[in-house]
Amino acid sequence: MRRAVLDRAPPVLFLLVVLATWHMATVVRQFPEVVLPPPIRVLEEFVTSWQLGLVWDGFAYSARSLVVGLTVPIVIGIVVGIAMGASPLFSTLAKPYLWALFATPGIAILPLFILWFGIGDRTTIALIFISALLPMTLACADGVRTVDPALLRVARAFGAGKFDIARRIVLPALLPSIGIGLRVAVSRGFVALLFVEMLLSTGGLGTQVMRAARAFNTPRMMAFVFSLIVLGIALITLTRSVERYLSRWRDDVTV
Amino acid sequence: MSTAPPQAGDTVAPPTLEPPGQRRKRWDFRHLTPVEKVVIGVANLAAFFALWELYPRVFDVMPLFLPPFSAVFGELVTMTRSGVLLDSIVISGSIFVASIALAFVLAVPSALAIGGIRWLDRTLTPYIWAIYTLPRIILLPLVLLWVGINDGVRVVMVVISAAPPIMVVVIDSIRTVDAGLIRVARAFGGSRVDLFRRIVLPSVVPFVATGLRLGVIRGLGGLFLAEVFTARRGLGFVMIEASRQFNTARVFALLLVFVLLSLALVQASYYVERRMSSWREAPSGL
Repeated sequence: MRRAVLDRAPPVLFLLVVLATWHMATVVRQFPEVVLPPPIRVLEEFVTSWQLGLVWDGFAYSARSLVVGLTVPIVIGIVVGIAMGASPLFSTLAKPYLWALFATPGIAILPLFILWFGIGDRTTIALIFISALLPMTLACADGVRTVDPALLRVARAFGAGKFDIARRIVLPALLPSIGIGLRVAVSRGFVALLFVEMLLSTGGLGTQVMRAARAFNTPRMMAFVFSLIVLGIALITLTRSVERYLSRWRDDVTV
Repeated sequence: MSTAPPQAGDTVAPPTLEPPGQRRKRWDFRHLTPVEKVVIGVANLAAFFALWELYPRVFDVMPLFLPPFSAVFGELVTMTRSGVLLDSIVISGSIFVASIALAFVLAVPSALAIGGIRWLDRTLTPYIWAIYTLPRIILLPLVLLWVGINDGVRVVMVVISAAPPIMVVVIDSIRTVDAGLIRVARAFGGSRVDLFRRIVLPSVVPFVATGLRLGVIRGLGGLFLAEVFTARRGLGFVMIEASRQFNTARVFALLLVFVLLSLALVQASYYVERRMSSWREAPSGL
């Protein structure tokens, strides 16, 4: 317990120092509020936005888009990934395209999606879909390849059926890869979501940020930026613990 | 145009565990010879582009949604002729290279300092991780506010995209420096500077390359992000402009160029990484 507190102390202290410096800077230099408002103003603005319902509305909208956008590609990614891992022919043919798309930032496809789906929810969902699909697929395809062939041979030698092999050997070997894919898919999906919301003003927290920025309401913009940072950290922590949970059977848990 | 299939994800083939007596089938997709790989890659890509050409023509798809490949290629030729393409590539490319260099120069020494000094490590590393894992787009409004809408935004975005991965990897690598070597060096009277120069630095070099590769990949995203929101010239800007004018063929053409450039960059950084870590067994899987 005491150790945990001591471990956390330096970063927390650092944060306090940064906040204090920020406050002092605004007091001493008297920056215009548009450029750098004092931290207390940002907090005030957050409370105001909360009372106006902006924070909750934006959050609900973003969360809904993210959940709707992520579910389908995660399922499809697992299925296609397993197919790629199981069929070398399919993998050889599909891999160049998947890797080409994976190496390209997902957001580069947005101009095309604007043309296809217009400006609205469908573009958001489509961009989240494509951003999340690739890491999920490639991670699962890699996962199938990590199945120990010796285990497979032993299982077959001892008369295990296809179902048994899938459940007891392939699935456990696959779980850690699904965890990795999930983490990357969620974080890429989150980026895609914010990108569309900020660029196209479709609604949600990203749109709130840009709206405040365009109105030169810097305190409110910062309040939303910090909310997004907290949200991002929460998402990352969540997906990391899911990943760790899925790969708990392995001794060497990679973090 | 090079037609070899991209190999970004190819992992080193694991040693085969097949029984040695088994005869190799004619088309064994698990273990292809290099020639077979090229043949399949070319055929694969040719089929892809042929399909792309035929599908819109046969099913009469509106060019706004999916122009045939020849139209995309024609747009590529038009843009090359008018100089837009080369111009954008040069602008985006030079800003990118300069920013990556800047990120590298800033990140490596500060990472060495943070990794080498205990209290700095404990204070700052959590924040570097946070910046590394957070989507950079969150920070874009702040960058826009403080830098203004100009080329600086692109530089800052690439630097804050590329520097954290380099720093994270280098800081981690300092922790993995062989403790035995350090103890021996101390026992033989090595000073702090000696330790740093002769033991820490050489063992960090391959990780710097890994960090650079990750930085290049993330930096591309940062560059594109900044171009779409702020630039007046450059690949991202031309692409978003084409989509505003409903010129789908041009969007596709630019997307193709962007994909090829990204792949080339990623390949190049893999190559550098392999060269710099040749004394290690394999590049880290980060």
